[in-house]
Amino acid sequence: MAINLLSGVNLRMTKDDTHINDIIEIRPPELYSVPVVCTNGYPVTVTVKVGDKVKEGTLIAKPSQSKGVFVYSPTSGTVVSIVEKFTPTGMKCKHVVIKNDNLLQEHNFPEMTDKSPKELLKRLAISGIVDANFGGSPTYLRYTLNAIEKKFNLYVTMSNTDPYLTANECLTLNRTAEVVGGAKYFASLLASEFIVFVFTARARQAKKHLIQFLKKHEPNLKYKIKTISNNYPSDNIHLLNEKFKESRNMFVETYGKKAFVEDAITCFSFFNSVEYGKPNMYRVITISGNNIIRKGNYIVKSGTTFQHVLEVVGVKTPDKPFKILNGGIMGGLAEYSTDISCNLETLSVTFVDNTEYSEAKESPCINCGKCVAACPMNLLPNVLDDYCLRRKTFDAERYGVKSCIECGCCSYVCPARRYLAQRIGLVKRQVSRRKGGSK
Amino acid sequence: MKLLVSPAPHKISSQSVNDMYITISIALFACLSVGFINYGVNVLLIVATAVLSALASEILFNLIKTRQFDFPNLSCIVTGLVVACISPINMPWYFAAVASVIAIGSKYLFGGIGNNLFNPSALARSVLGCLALGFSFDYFGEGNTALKLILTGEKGSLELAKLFTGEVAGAIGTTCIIIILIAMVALIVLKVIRLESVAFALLSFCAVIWIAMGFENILPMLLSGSFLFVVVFMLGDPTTSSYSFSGRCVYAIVFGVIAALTMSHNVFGESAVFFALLIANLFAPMADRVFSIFHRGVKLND
Ligand code: SF4
Ligand code: SF4
Repeated sequence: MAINLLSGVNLRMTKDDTHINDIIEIRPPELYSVPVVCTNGYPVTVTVKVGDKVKEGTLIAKPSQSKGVFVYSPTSGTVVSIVEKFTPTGMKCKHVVIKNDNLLQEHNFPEMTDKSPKELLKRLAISGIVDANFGGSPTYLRYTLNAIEKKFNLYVTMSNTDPYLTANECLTLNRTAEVVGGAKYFASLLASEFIVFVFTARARQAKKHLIQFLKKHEPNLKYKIKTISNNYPSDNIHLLNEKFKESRNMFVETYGKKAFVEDAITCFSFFNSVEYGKPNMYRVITISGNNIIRKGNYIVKSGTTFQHVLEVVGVKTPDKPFKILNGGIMGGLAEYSTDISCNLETLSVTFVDNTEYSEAKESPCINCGKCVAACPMNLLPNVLDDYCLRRKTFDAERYGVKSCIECGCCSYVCPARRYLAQRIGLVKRQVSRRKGGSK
Repeated sequence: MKLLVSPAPHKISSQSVNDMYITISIALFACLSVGFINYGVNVLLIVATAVLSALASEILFNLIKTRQFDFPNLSCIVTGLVVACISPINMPWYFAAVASVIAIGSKYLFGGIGNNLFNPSALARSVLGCLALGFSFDYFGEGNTALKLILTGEKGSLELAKLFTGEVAGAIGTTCIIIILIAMVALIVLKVIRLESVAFALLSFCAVIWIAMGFENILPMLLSGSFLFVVVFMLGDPTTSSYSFSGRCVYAIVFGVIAALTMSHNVFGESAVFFALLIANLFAPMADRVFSIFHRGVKLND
């Protein structure tokens, strides 16, 4: 069964206008504690010791096996300790704590003279770029030697449906050259015929801007523009993958049907890494929410704690209880402590107070089917919920619980306020664990 | 600084169950007020008895079931109002009370809110129709109902314009077509009822009537016998209809076909459409089961 393209929810919240202003580099903190493993779980070896001097961009961890991620220091300074801490997604892993010495010394990759696909792939592999959407697995794993130059189209998402997430749109508007440049490098990796720029219907301004830019500066670039619905979560990576998947050759058997979908942020990072040799230890993040004073799109380096972010952006009502979300308002994880560091998977940080988040008491399901209509993966959340409550995990599995993408649409629309996505997510993880799968 | 932790999503839509019931209640009140204008004070008595006894029995049955007092949700009010709407005007008030108790009781018989198989009001009306010996549920005050006029071949004396304004004999809240049509549009726009169930019920009904009685009878049949009222206010009851799109379509078609057949053959008189709804209710869970194969998710490969 295909995905349900008419599904999702119209959040009816106007986008913040944070995308209009250029990205801001967040003030550097005293201490960075950089998580050195990403949620994909491939082990890494820390290459620095306590007391070592590092520059911005010095390698601090490298993969222990063939798969894994390279981690670079976000600042010049001294390694003061290596501790075990929790990541924003709740994984315990090693964090390298680096004291900033404010000397601003940099260590960059050598300049690239040969920009052939093979060389680009090498640069992508060492650049430290990870997929924020695929649980932090390194991006280069999707572009292996078997994938490059196979003429797959490249899809680049340029705006998002989440009401607060504007980083992609912001980069499209303000750093167009870098984003398009990065997209071109990705496209040359794949030898794509077309680059397809994907916009949500709401992002008219960014779309217009991009078209004008391409006309003026890239007249020879072959591109297409695709517009997707404003309904959350039509920009979800799994949905886009399903929508754009190409199953033309042997690739299907080896890697599964997968489309090559990048976002503007990744293109921006890749461009900087190819053109200026900058290792990827930062991410452009939208910091927003109704409880913050200085909303905007910030360059946040990996290892910056939420406490520091909070100090920089300012909270309107610090004495009242509020939520810090690692992610947007629909899918974000509420953090229990401000001592946790942002990593390269942090898509956005949202501070919401009680005027924004909703609490309601659960009542019995009235069988209205709104959740069924909203589920983008064509599941039956009401039936799954029933199985979850009765702990019938096998039945839940039969009804496809594993394909839930935990988008939260079902909980959002449910008039009986049932905790559908929450329970289904829990059972999904139980089922995956029972199978011993990695997902 | 106090941080709150909770699982995603952190936002939920503004439409709650009670909002849906309030919207429906307002529409039902509109229907009843036309009934009040057309038929007089007895309407008030029936409405008050039906609603109050529905509320009381909801609280009572809930107490028996859960042994604690929960503030009931507004579905019982809607049930009471619907019971009042589909009552004949000359019905004694205690019949309304009995109907409400049967309606709510039937809901709890199946396990409470969200579990009932049959539409409570339709079930109550049908049960009363079978049990009320000596009282004809086909008798509606002065004159014959529109349905009877059509079926007995006295269609000539039927003025279509009067059907729209509700100045004909019939059940209290179901005769004024204009109000029902307005309510239909409003409820669809406000996402309380679904376009597809309304559309398929109307289409299948018209098709069968066309075959059985000829084209000229479609409009009069559509406007009589409480059919439109049932389509707008009872067919879309979330609990007793299907939850999947395809299920809802099948359910609506089954209802439309059976309603057209029973009404055109004068099987149950004025109660035909309620029996049709009960039969369609049986199909709803079946349709859901069958169509659940389309809802097993998409296999992800990452
Ligand atoms: S959270 Fe899962 S079940 Fe709910 S709408 Fe999203 S994909 Fe469907
Ligand atoms: S939206 Fe809520 S009340 Fe409606 S069927 Fe789904 S779980 Fe039940």
